[in-house]
Amino acid sequence: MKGLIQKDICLLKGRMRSIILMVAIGFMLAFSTGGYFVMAYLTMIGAIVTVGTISYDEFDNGYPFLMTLPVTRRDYVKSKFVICIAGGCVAWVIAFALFVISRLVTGGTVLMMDFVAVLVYIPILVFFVVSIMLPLQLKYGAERSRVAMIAVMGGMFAIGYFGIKFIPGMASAGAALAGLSAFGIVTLAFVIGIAALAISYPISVKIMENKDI
Amino acid sequence: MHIILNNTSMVPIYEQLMDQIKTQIIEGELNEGDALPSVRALSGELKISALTVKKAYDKLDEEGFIVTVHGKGSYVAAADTAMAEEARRRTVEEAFETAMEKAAAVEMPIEEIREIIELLLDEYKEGR
Amino acid sequence: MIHIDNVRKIYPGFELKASLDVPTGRVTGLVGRNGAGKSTMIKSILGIIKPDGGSVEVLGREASELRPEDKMRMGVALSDSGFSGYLKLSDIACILDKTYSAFNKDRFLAECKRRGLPDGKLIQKYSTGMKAKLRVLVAMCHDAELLIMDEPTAGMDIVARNEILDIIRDYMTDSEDASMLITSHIAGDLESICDDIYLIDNGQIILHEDTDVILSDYAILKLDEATYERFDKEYLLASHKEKFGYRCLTNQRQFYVENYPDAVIEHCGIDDLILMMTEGGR
Repeated sequence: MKGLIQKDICLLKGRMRSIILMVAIGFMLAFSTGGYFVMAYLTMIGAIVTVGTISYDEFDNGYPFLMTLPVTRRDYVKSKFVICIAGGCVAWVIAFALFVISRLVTGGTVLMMDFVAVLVYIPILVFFVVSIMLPLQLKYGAERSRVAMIAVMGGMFAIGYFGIKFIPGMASAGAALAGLSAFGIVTLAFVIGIAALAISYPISVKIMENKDI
Repeated sequence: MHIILNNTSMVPIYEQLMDQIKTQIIEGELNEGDALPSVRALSGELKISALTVKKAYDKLDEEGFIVTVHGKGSYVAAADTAMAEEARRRTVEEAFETAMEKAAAVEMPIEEIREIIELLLDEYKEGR
Repeated sequence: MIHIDNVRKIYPGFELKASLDVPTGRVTGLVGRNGAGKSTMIKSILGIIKPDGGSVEVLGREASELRPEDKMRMGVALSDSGFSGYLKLSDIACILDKTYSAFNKDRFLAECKRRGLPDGKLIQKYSTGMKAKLRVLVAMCHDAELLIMDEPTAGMDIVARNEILDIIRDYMTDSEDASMLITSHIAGDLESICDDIYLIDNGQIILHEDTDVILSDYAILKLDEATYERFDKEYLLASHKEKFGYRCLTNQRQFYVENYPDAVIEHCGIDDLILMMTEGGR
């Protein structure tokens, strides 16, 4: 499986230019909006780009050869989950760094509340999105699942963006209670996200094992 | 090893190989105890199948020209002049047999055959 | 190494029904026309497709049950599938390093350099010949005991084909016990490498013979009509009507050389076998 992950890392390195461009756009967005938008944007990009490595594998009939390597189909699915979750989290970290920089540079502050709030993006935008996109792409291929992906992306994005907006609102309603609530919400989000992954993984393995290559 | 094979000859490849190795042994280019190249190595060099080389080596082993030690390789067998002479004699005998078959095919009378042999012997004596 | 016993695979309009063996240390060739069933055989050996009947054993296990440990001992080069074209040579070396325990990165890169494969270029920008060389080198980079090459010289000119065959020959010379199954529809390439040949046509094996027997005992006979009429046809495997009379294939060259010294008797190569013995050859 290590070899498969290395392959995806090499492929992502090849896309470095587009990735840097998107980070630069994110940077500008962070300064222009000042809100959590940059977080949603960059984290989502991270998830999409890493899930996109599937299209490289299936492009030009790559699967027959990949399966002659000493890996199982389960290993392949495992490697996808690992790289997509790791990639999404890395994107989140970069996004958070940009967010903090933009806040501090514009004279604002970064509260603990902000951190807890944006943590929610990880389970929602990374875990949940990956849980849906991976099995979809494995089953229908990158091309055919493109429309479904856009719909899912849009939906997730909207939920993520608008949902978060309300948490700080709730927090300012009552001091200690509010903190707990937000915290509780984040924990709940993580539970849902991890549950989604736990359901998606065996389904994805099954799809891959029955796939005609 | 200086082996040159003729792919368009009617003589089977393994026979050509055997003949050339035998000649090298008889003429002293290959000496007793010399190691022959491995089957794979020679087949790669000559661009023929390994099985063909193995066939040649097996036959050479049978005829006593080489000795194959399982797991180690093939080596030129002890210089047995009687064996070499026997082989040389056999080659000439076979050539004569072929000539006789041709004579039989056209039902050549014995006298004519004798005449031809005498003629050739005279040329042979002059040649030496 | 490979033991196929009456494998059956049914597709609409095509049925594969064949047996094939590649013992340890053997180089076996599988030839046939396009669509004869070569890729189906290869895919069943690699466990990519599941047979409808019979058994396909590779390295002692059913092909569909090959584990990663087994695949470590196999090197595969497919003509229509490989690493993503968006990778570079150094990327592939990194990937192989993490994939195969017996892989030596320096040796691999040195060999690639020696064979003229440039680094820093995307694989998709390689010429056909370079791509083929890379596939073969990748298959041979981890001391595999069983090599499976599906049409390694497809689409290449004679010079490039020879280079590929040289690479393969060098590997087989260095790895005495390695076995190989190599398919091609350019049969002439295989005469210089394979120990034995399987000829497949319409999903069935129609000939299995040692290469040196094909080259020494098989022959093409060219006869005019009159000669053909009174000819002893007992050892003729196939006869085709031609403008000059008949073209025949035999596996008893010596018999015909001895009994018909005036007949035109020519060498038979694997290409001749395909032409004479397969349906479309007529």
